[in-house]
Amino acid sequence: VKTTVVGIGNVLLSDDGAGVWLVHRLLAGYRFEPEIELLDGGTLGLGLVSHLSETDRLLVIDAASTGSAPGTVVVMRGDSVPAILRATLSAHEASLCDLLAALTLLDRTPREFVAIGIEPQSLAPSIELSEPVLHALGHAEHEVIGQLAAWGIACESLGVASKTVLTL
Amino acid sequence: MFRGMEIVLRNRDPREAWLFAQRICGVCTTVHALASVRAVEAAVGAAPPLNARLIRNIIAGTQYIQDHIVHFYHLHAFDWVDAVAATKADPAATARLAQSISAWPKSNAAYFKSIRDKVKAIVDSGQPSLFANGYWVHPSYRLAPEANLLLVAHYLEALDWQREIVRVQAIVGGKNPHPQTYLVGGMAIPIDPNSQAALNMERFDQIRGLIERAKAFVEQVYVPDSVLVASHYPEWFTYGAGHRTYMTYGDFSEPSTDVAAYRFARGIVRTAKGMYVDRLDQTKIAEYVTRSWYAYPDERTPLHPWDGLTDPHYTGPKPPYDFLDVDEKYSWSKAPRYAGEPMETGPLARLLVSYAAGRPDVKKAADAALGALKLPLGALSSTLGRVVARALETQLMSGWLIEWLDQLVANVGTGDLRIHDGTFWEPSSWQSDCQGWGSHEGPRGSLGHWIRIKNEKIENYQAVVPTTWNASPRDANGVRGPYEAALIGTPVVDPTRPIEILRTIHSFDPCMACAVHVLDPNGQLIVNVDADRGAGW
Repeated sequence: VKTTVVGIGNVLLSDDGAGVWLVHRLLAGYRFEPEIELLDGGTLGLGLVSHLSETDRLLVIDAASTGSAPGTVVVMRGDSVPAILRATLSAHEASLCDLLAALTLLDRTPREFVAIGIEPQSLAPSIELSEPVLHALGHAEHEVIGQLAAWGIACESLGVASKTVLTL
Repeated sequence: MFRGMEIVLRNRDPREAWLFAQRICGVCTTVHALASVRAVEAAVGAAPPLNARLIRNIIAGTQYIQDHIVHFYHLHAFDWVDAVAATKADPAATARLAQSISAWPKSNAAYFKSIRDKVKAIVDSGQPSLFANGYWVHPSYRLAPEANLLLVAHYLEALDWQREIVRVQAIVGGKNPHPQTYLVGGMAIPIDPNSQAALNMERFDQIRGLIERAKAFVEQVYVPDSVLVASHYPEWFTYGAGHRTYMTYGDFSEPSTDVAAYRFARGIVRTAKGMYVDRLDQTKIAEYVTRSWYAYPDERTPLHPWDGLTDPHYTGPKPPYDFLDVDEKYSWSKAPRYAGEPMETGPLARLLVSYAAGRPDVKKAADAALGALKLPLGALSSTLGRVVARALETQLMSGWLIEWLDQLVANVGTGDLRIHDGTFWEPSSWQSDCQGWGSHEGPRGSLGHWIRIKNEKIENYQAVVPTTWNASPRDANGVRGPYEAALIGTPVVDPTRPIEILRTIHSFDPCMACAVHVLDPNGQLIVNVDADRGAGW
């Protein structure tokens, strides 16, 4: 059973890159058993298809504009994902929906799918996250670890003060 | 869009310039590394050995194949292909159509039925997905449902397939995107037939397998599909020409190093004046910023890249805005001109210049395609001419890749394992003041890097990229760039859904989020077109 966690977004557009920043925090801060794949999906868009086509369980972290307060973390599971995304849409255009549709058309839909969205405050050109989104990373990280644990994956913290780990 | 990589490069060691320059783009990966090492080599006098030049060609050639296939299927196809209409196709008739144009083995009715049913499920669900942002059911679509289904199926196959060919870059470049084995004076990858840790016969065979599979996909899927689309839109061989002035720096002379041996010839062709090639003199290139958001001491005088300046100076309206005033500065792109003239660069320019220069393989490929489409040579100066030229050069490139690999294996077989020439590696071997021009024909067109080195450091660095030529704004004399010129005379059936404009802009393969603003004769904005629509790349 292959498990993949992918963060997508543009780190040059402040909070759009929240998912990517979180993946790098997870890479630096944890050891996973059994091993999982953690991917910096960046702005690859449909280019990610080939990286995700072998995965059984897919967890995507992305900026999601739901109209809630900046930093709000939403968790979407299974069939509810497309329905929720239809209403919210990912913050960048090469959307998660495109990716899911492509995987479906190629008969590579992951058996289990979870999306964690973080409400952005700013999408302006900057490599800094806004305050509320920076704070939300801890909450989103908690959700990711919780989901992985539910999938039977042990997440061993390496003791790195995760708040300080924010480098690519 | 402004990147400012030229500013980053100032005062750095010229030998590391390619590592930074390569990051100008994440899609046109590798091309800037190649142009950069060539610029430094030209400046300091370094001469990379044959093995290194062949490996560079193999990286460049695989880039062509991946880039052009992704462009055709994933960035351009839906300008011609109606994915929604594909749901009405008869799978058996689609299989017959596919078998009539190609021997590709996947073409059976059951396969097309499964694709059609899946596309239908997605379209019916109304999800904002792959097929949500097209101009579906537009009167400008001309293909039968079966042709639409065939192309949607190949869109999906290409999505899955395109990762294969770039594995070549991982083998000889360490990774993709942005291979890491370039080096001023050669490449940083050992060749040793007796080592598992170096390029050996096993690796060469692996590369050969990847190239041969790519060649089959190009010949049996990409080229026939391009001709299929082209044959249904004959009027698009009459729109989109623009200035009809074409420029190529030329490239790929191996085993020779002679410009005259370039497989893509170097030169200038102005088809309105006939099919002959004028010699290219790079010192006649200069960039205007009269209509660009940069500052020059004298805004009406263009600068050659060796003397070029990158001084961003935004004077446009505060975004979001509805209009840009083309009588003022209105673009982040400078306006390069050759001897004062705008030039189109890219696959069509390469095809026309090489054809006029009498390159036999280019001429043969072009004549065969024109014969199949029953079109004269002049029809290639058009929107669809670019699409066909891109497919034809991908086919040529897949054959050249095998030739380069054969040359490499044969040369290694003679016992020549040289991969780097260190004669001019140490800065102490350089002249204290030197300058160089590195050119490369990348998938999108003619790419040039210009460098000035002073006291072992970069004094000035300028990159003039293909899209800067094609997308350039007006110059001091008010002359339009190629995109703008190509759009003149294009009919737009429905101004709120201007698919016709996308067809022409996409035919250039723009390397930018290209905002096109369409105005009606009274200056009212009709619509903004984002040429990156649905791209995801």
